[in-house]
Amino acid sequence: MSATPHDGVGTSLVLGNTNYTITNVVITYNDPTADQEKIDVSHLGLTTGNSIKTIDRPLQGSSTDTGRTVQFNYLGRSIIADASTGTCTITVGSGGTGVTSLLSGVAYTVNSSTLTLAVNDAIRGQATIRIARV
Amino acid sequence: MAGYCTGVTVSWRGTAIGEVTEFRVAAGGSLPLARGSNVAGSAPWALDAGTVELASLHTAGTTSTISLSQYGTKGLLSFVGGGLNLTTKAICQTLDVSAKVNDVYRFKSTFKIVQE
Repeated sequence: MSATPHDGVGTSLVLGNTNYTITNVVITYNDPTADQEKIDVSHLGLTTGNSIKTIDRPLQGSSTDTGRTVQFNYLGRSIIADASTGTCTITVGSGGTGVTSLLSGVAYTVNSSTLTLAVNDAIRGQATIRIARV
Repeated sequence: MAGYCTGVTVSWRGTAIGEVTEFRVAAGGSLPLARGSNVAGSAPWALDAGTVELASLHTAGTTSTISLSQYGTKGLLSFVGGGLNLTTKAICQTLDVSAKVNDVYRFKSTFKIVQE
């Protein structure tokens, strides 16, 4: 029997000591050493059954690029400072079945941040943070 | 059953071209003509009897790469392996070398099939 799907109700995101009222979270893990990040140099001389041939790219990404980011939307009156750092904790609410720790005290750096003020709407913020590989 | 495009060696003027990724041979075009003969059909020749397009990788400047010096030269072009066995006389007509940041050199060349 397949597991019952759960929504994200009760999920919390804490940066440092601030617990944000979040409306959406997207967590992205991207392995910078994965094959799709390499150059495909397969050629017709390879024989059936050979592995696809790849080589590393000559230039490497920034040493600070961990390949992992968290993008989230929140309700609030303050903008999160770009390049600010700290630790991030995300706990997933599981619709009454308990909570699950997704990230716990993981170091982060803010990549980008916006705050939107519009007529007849709540003040909404959005930020993307780069998190450490742990 | 369809055959895989694998295990193919492409050679130009007796030297294997390294890391060929794609090619296309389209034979046909100009009708062969009799050259310098009163006998129709003898010694037929055509300078545009078809086109070969070739794409490859490999290190720039090595002998197994179609280099600029090959431009305009004539020789045998062969495709052997993977169930394919094709050899034709051809002239190297164009050479296109592309380089891009964080990538490898990519070569493209076209040949005109010569009948003589």
